[in-house]
Amino acid sequence: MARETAVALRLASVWRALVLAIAAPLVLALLIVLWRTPFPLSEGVGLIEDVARNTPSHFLAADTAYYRPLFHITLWTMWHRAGSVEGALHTIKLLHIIPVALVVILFVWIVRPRDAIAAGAATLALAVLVGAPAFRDNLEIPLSYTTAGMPIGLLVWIILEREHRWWHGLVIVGLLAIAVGFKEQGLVLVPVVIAAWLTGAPGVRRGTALAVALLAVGYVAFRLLNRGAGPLFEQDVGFGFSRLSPEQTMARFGSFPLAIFAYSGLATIANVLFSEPTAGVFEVAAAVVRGRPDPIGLLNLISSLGMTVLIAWWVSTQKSLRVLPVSREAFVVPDGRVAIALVVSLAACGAMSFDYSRDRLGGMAIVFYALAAFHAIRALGIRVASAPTPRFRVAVAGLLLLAGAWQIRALNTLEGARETAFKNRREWITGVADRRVEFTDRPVYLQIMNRLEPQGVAPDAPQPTRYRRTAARLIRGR
Amino acid sequence: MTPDAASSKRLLLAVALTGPAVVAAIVIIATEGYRVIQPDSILFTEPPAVSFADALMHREVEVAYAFVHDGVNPNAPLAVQDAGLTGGGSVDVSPLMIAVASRNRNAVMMLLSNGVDVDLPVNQPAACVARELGEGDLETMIVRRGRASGARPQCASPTDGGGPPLLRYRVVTVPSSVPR
Repeated sequence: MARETAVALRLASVWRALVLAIAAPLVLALLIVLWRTPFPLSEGVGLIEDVARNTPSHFLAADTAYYRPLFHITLWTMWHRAGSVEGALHTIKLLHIIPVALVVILFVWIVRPRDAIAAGAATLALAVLVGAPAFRDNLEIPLSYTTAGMPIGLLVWIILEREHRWWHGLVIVGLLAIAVGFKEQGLVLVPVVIAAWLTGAPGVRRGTALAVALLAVGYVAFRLLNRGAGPLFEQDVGFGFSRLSPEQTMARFGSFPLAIFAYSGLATIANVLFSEPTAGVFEVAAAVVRGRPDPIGLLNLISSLGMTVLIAWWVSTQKSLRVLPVSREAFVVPDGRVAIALVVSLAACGAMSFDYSRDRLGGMAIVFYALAAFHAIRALGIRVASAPTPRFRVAVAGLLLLAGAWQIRALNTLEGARETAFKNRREWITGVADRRVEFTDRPVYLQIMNRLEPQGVAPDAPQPTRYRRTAARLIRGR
Repeated sequence: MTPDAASSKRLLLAVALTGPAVVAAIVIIATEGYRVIQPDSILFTEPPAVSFADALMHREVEVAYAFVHDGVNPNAPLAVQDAGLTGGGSVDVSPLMIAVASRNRNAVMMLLSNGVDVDLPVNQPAACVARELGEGDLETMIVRRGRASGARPQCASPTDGGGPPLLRYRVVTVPSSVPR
C-alpha cells in the first residue's frame, strides 16, 4: 500500500513537472519582459515621489479613495533602504515579478495533475489564467497591488483545503491582512474563507471564519468613517459603448447612482466570464456594430464564452451543490468548493468595483475561475473518454479549438507586456519636456524623473514582436 | 470498449489539450532564440532611417530618437528635400521645424525633451509653422518651452508669399555653430 502511494506521488510529481516545463517558456519570457520593462513615467514617478516625500505613517491615513498602506510602506522601505536608484528599482520590480511567478507555481501545485488528461487540463487552465484580461491588466509595473493578492488567494486556498493545524487561523488572517494592505480587493478573500468554512473545508475552523468576518467589518467601518470628502465618481466610467468622465457620470447618474454602481459591478464580473465588456465598455460588440470586428476581441469573447459554458456545465454536475444550504457535510468534495469560491469571489469583485469597472479588478476572482476551468476541462475529458467514437471526435475537435484559442491569448499577454514596455519607453522619450514645465513647483518629482530617465530611454527595452498578417492580427490585435 | 481503445482515447484527449501549449512553447523558444541571435532583425526592431530628417518626417519616434541618443545635435539644421514639405527643393532647416511641418507630434515632443532650444533663431519659426498648419497644441508646446514663458510669438511675414511652410519660414542665415 505504501509502495503504491509512493508510486502515485512520484507520478504526480512527473505530471506536475511536465505541465511546468510546457508553461516555462511562456512564463519565463513574460518574467524577463517584466524585468526589462522601464518604469513608467506617469504613475511610476508620481508613486516614488509620494514615498520619497512622506513618512510611512502618512500612508496609514485613510482619507483617500486609494488606500493601500502596506503597498506604499513596502515601496517606501525599498526606496529608502536601497543603496542606489538602480537597486531600488530592481527590488520594486521583484515585488511585482515574484508574485506573478508564484501564481503560476501555486496554481500547478494546487491542481496537482495525476494523469495525462489532468495534465492536459492543467496546461489549458494555466493558459486561461495567463490569457485572461484580469491577469494581463495586473502586469503593469510597479502597480503590484492585486498581483500580490493573487498568489495570496491561492496560498489561502491551499491552507483551507489541508488538514487543520493550529496555525492555520493565524496564517489565514495574516495573509488576508497583507492582501488587503496592498489593495482593498484583498477583501474578496473574506467571503471565500467564510464560504469554505460553511462548506466544510478541512483547514478552517469557526474561529478563523469569525476573525476574518470581524476583520472585514472593522476594516469597512474604518474606511467609511475616514473616507474624507471625495467625489462620488473618482474615475471615468464605462457605460454601453462609451466612457463617461466623472462629471458626465455625475450629471447622468448622480441622482440615482445605484444603477451605474450595479452596471459597473456586473461589468467586472462579465469581463472575467466573457472578456467583455472592457472597463465597462462593450468594445467587441461596438466593433461588430461598426462593421469592423476585431479578431482578437472576437477570439477572446468566443473562447471565454466556451470556457464559461464548460464551467457552468461542470458546476451543474456537482451533486453536492444541489443540497445547498442543507448540510455542510455535503460539501466535502473539494471540487464543489472551487465552484463556490468562484461564485463568491466573482460577486465580491463585482461589489468592490461598484465605482468603476476595470479588467484588473477581476484579478482576485480569476485564480478561482482558472481553478474551476481545470476541474471542468478534466471532468469533460473523463466524460468524453468513454463516449461513443463520433461524439468523442467532436469533443476532441472542440477542446483542441478551445485550447488553441486560449494559447493564442496567452501569447497575446506576452506581447501585451512587450507593448507596455514599448509604450513606457516612448513616454520617456516624448513626455519629459512637458513635465519639466508642468511640475516646476515639484522639485522632488523633477529630481526623481531625472534620476529615472536613463532607465526609461535605454534602447534595450522590450519591443513588440513584429508578427506579420494573420499572426499579427491574432497575437497583437493589429 | 477495450482497455487499449480507452487508453488511446485518453492519450488523444491529452494531446488535444496539451498540443496547442506545446506549439506555443515552441513558437516562443524559436522566436526568443532568434531574438538573441539576430536582435536587429526586422521581426524585432524597426530598421534604422537613412537620415535624421527622414526619421523625423516619416518614421516612428524611436528611430529619430536613436540619432539624438547617438549624439546628433538636435538644434543643428539639416538639409531636407521633400515634395510635400519643400516643394521638391533642398532647404536647410532645424529638426524641430521638420518635425512640426511633418505634423509629427511625437517627434516634436522628443526633440523638446532632448535638448532643443526653441529660442535659437533656427527654431523660432517652428511655433509659427505649427500655427499656420492649425496644430495649436504643438504651438502651445513649443511656446511653453521658450524663455518668453508662454507668450505667443509674433510670426514675421514669411520669406515669400506662397509654397510649403518650410520654404517660407526657413531662416536664410544659419549660424555656423549652433550650441546644443
